[in-house]
Amino acid sequence: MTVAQRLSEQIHQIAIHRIGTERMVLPAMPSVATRCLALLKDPNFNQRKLADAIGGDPLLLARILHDASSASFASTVKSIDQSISRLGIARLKSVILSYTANQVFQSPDKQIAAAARRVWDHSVAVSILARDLGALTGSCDAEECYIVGLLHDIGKPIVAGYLLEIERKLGKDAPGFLQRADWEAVIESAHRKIGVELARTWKLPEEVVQAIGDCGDYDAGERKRPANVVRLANAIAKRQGFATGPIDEADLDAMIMVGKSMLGVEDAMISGLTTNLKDRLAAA
Amino acid sequence: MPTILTVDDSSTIRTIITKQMTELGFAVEAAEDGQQGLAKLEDISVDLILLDVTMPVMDGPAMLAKLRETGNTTPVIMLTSESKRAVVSGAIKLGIDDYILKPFKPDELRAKVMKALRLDPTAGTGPVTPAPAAAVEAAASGSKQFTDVLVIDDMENVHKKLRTLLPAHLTMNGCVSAREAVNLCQERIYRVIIIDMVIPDVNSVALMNQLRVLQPHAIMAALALRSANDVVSEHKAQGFQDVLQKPFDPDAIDEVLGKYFDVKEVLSIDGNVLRAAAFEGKDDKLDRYFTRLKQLGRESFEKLASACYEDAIIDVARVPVRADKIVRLAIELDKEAKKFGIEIRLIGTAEHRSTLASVTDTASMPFFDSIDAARAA
Repeated sequence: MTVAQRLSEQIHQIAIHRIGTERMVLPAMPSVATRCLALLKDPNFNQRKLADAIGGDPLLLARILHDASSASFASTVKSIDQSISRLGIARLKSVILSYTANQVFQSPDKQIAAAARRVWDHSVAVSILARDLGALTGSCDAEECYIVGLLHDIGKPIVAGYLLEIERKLGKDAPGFLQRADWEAVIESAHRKIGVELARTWKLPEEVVQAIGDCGDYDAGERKRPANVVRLANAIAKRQGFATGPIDEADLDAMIMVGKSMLGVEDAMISGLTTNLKDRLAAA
Repeated sequence: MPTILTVDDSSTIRTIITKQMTELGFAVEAAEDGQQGLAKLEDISVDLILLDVTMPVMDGPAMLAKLRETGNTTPVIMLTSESKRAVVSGAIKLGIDDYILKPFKPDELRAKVMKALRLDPTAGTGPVTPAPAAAVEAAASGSKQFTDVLVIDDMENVHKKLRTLLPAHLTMNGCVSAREAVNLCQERIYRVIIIDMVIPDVNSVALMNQLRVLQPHAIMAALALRSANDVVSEHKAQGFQDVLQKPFDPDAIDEVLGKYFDVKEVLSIDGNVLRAAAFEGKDDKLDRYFTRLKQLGRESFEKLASACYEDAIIDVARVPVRADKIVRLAIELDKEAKKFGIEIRLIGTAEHRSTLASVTDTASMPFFDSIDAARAA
């Protein structure tokens, strides 16, 4: 068994033990985000209350104003009320979850921060593609596809944090305790279970939880599910260079071939969606 | 004539494929499993193999592996209900050209077969030969219906408002989602596609890029909120050819449409004779008609002055007689003409004459029954 396999197993054991004994410490959703999402569950929500809640977190407020003033809206908003009206309920949920998820990808450790940044960029690329694929193929709720895409790898930075914790406990201060390839392999094999736990803790929709738990093979039983849209978006994002680890070319081709046939996507559609992906990612 | 070999243990699938491929003009051979398929290939040469995965005796991947071992490079499309990435990636390593998931749509099978055989997807069988662009376009369009304008905006009120501003002879479709837009663009041909920049669930630029693939000859116009920012430059930089702003400005709509359609103007000019066109449409467009007449009248007087005309004959015979509106139009045109030192003479019906004669401000305006009479005066 390699170092990576041993560590992966160890992470699994730690996670299972902590989940079993309810000592799993997962990043808490900020109270402002929790409150906003609770308000948004009511289709007739009180806009004043929502505006007040958003105003309680200046960073969230700034993020919402930024998104409501983005290039696709063509003009700048001047108030939170205007932002709420402009974005609408579904988009607001996505913005709040995106803001919350982004905090999970922050780390004071430089190595983890850099790796988490790559995962975040990949996740944003997947979420953008998933939203467009969902809408253009009429597969399912496009905003749900966006959320699933954004969160499908959210367990990765948490596993990275555990690796750091193990490294410190082992007293291995010197860099190179794990080679990058091993480090990525551990994260790849351990992140799903932890991502699922986080999604459940955050009370995310079951579709999101399931998609985080299994982003591998397509579900041919129900073709037009957000998870299937995200699987295809994931493969396209990797093909476009937004990968977080080594790529198996045949495996990637297989995911794209199967996804195209499953969702009725033609090459021309993929070409159209990826034309300005880097610009859109930069603007996100 | 290209020959296709279908290898599938389901007689239903073999029958469906045989029927569809025969209709496309291909010869079809069939086998029930990989072993039968290999045996067929010892006797005949085929141009494409449609290969199932799970079959008794010898499955698809095993047949493919043996085929490649012998150096046979015939294109293969995997046609299966198997979607496991490990199986498909294994087949990719053995050299498949494409993949179709069962159950499949006839269009997908047709498109992928034509692509694998390097045939023109818009034509029947036979090798791809250079064709005149117009012929390709005609073949591609098939029996698609032509529509002038498609507007994509999630607010149906925007469709209604735009419809009232478009000339009656232009046809228009409206839709509220990207999905509907894609469907419409697959079914019809559009001249101008107007895309709202704030469509829920989809990035408008991505949608525009996608629709451009389906409608390569359509003009793509962004529909943006009025703003202090330079949205025109911004959206043109994103790839849109034109930009319209909400709320709609009727003049801006006219200006944009004038670039792409033969829009009949309400006032034509011939020498020093200005002819007002008849009003077409519902009554709610009447105010706009009169406003446009005044605007074009003003522009026409400037042209006449540049050409050193000192008088203008204005034919209002086809303008509807709405007392207040025709009187105001005459006063306005007279006022504008005088700014350029031009005297006007009006031509119209007896009803126009009596209406204008009943108002002090227009009673003394020169009025005639015909152009000849006006010229002779």
